[in-house]
Amino acid sequence: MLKYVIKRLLWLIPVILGVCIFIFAIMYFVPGDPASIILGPSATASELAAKRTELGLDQPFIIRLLTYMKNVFLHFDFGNSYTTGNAITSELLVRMPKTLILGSVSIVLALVMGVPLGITAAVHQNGLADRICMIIAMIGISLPDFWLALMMVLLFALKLGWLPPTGVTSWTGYIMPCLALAFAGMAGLARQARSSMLEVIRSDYITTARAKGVSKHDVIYKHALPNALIPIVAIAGSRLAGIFGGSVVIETVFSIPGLGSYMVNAITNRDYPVIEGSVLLIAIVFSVVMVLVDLVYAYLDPRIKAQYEGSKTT
Amino acid sequence: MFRRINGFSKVTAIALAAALSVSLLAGCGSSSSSTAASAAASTAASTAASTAASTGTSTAASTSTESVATVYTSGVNGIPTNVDASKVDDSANVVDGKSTINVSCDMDPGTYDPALFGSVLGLEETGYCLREGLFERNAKGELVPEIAKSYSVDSDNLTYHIELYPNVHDSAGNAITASDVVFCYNRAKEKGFNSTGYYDSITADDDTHVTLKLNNTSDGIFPQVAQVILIYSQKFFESCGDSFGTTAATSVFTGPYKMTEWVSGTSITFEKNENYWQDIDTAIANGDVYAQQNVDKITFHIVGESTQLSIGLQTGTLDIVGNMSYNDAKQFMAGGESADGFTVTPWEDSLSQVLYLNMDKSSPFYDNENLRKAVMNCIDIDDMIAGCLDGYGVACKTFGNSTIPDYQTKWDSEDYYKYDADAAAKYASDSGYTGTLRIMCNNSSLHENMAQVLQGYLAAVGINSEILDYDGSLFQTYKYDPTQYDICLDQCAWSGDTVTKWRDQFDDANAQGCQNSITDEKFFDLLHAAMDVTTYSPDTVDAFHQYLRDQCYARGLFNAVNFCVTKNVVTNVLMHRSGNLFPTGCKFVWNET
Repeated sequence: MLKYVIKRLLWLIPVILGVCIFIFAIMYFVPGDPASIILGPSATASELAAKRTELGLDQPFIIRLLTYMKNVFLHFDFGNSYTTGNAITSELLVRMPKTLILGSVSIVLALVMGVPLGITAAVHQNGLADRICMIIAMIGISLPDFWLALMMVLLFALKLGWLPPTGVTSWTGYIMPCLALAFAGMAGLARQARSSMLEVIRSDYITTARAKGVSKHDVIYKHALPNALIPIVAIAGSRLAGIFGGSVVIETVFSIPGLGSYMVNAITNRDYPVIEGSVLLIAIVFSVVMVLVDLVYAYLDPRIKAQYEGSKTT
Repeated sequence: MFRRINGFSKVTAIALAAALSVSLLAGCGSSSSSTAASAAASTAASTAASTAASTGTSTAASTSTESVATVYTSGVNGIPTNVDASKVDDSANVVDGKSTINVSCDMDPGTYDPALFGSVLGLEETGYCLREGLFERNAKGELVPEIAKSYSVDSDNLTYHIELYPNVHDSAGNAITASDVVFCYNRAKEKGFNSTGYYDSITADDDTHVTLKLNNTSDGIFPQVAQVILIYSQKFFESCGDSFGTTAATSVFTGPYKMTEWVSGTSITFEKNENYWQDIDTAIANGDVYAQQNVDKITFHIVGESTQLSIGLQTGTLDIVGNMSYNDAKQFMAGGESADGFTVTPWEDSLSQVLYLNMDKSSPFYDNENLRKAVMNCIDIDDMIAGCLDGYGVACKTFGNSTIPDYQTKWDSEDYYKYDADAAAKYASDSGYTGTLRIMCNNSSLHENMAQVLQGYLAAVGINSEILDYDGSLFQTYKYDPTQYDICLDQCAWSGDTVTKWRDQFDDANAQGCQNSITDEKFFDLLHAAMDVTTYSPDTVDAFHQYLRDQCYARGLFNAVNFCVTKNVVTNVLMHRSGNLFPTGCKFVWNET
């Protein structure tokens, strides 16, 4: 098992290095001159040249890439923003927790709501409960999350006055954005849970368990669900990772200073160091989440554990 | 069984589609009948017409469906809202004897370091009450003292001697002397900040006198440099290191307000600077209307979503929204569903939408006057305003804004590219042009709409065109590249004066040259005559305006009308010369009583 964990962790290194090189190369070839963007149209040619030298833009690609990688991986220094001059690392450290909270809470809510919904639908396949659950899931997938967010703001902030419409200065500010993100995630997880459960329920060992007189509750939760969870975990993991980079719309609606809005503003302003730093951080988070997903797989699926323990004993 | 399931699914799908359609239509909304209006209730712009005399020039907006009788420009004294202060309950805004207002802001500034650009929008909305320069320009374009008391200029028109006030200090008590001014100017130049290319050196003669050496005798250069480069304590800067201007504790300046809290990306709070270095009444008497302290505490809430602005006003999270579109603001106008307790003030944006023709030698416009005239005369500007701004815009009468210095009122009565489709079609035919013109713009919705409208006008006179829209940064690069476009739709801020902006756009001595690659010697002779302080006069200004118009190299299109929505605690709305709301200079009910 330890071997499995180490192997997965080691795979992180080439993945992250590859992302770093790829994103740096893309930013290198994107048209637009950061020096003229920073200095504006009144800058003289000599000022532009001096700024390019200061930013290292006149260096060859490979030198710039190696310098960047050295700063990032050895000193954890993503550089300074072209726009504000602020250190990107400190800005990411301020914004990351807000996005983490948003993502973590919403995925937990999605799991808490979606998995039971899917199980209910599967257990009552083709019945009224199944149809209701799948209608709810279909609504969740169909509704744009920003529309749902605005409807919640109109109801809970404007009409009822229960929650603040914008900002996350207190924990109540996280409720609506997390629910908005969770609803879409819940829908996908419910559908996947239903599909996985239906597949597992039809297995021979479930039939055997029923024939042995195992209670319905134990059949579903002790025998069927652990096997059905594997694809659900995968979807939850990729959904969580996607929230880190893709929650910009929710962050904009609720004025949450998170990673998504930081990155989108940087793209608009051609703030290359911020774009590179944000994308790299998201890639690292995504990779770590996928490693965790794989570890959860190993925990849930004894076959994976046995595969490594079996190879050790033979 | 199969038929029953199928039928149930169909019914469910239809019900769901109906529910979504109903909710979408409900979201579009329409104004309800007006609620009972009291004297302190919200007013439509039409009721403010009687006070036009005290607010600066006002012009009527061209409208399509709704009537906005009077549109205000950012006059020196602000724009009264005609709220009866005695009938307004301000208890929600006065807590423990301290007055508080909440204002919307589009973007977090990122940094308040004056030598870095930061988010220009965020800085313009929040920074004017915090930071000061040597001088400021009021809405008339006149230089008024801030940290500097006075100045004189040598006969070379390049060497300026500036006298500072002797008692200037920042909110932390750090004295500001001539050496700090020199430090700030040199540091801004080193960082390549805006306008630093116009001066060669600055020296401190003593603690209260500096000598600034410009390298350009153009009219408007000194005011631009004197107001744009902002002053702070060198000692404080060095104590902060890299964090200067990035937190509330490290954003210490000389302004009438000090920053007390900055939650990055969420809110910024300022409180009255009790240690302000000058007497407010004296500052205002000297003409610095931005040195006011009309509220004890102001919080800027960063709200990026337009719907949230309306919700913020209705929930009380926001008291002022400086810039709203008509569609968002109309619910707060008289008769609107949320009108009670609010006032809407329409004001003319200082940002002008302009059109350039590529005059590079490779361009089809270079030696084809008929083609240029065809393009300029095929545009029905009122129709364009109606199509792009729902009618809320003011047509330009020059390449510039009618409300800032150097504009001549006689231009109001002159023809400025009179719309004539038949004449334009004849010009197009006579031009012999059979190609496809490239219309370049940035990818904002306004410019994309303008491009589409323009494309329609060109098609109507027989000229084919294609639209090339780019994101803001790429557009900023391409607009100086004559190989990228034939027609460029752009916008210009008009915070200075008209001649300064002509210089910024057209002067061939600029770092990037003339924006649309004009090579006409007479054009530059007239421009330089208008620019230079020795030859500047209304005649030279008019001569350039006439020539630019007659040659059809570029034209002003329109200025948008924006709407400022204020809770009825606001009795007077003050706009900064940059065109943004200046909330600490507004007046409130607690100032009236």
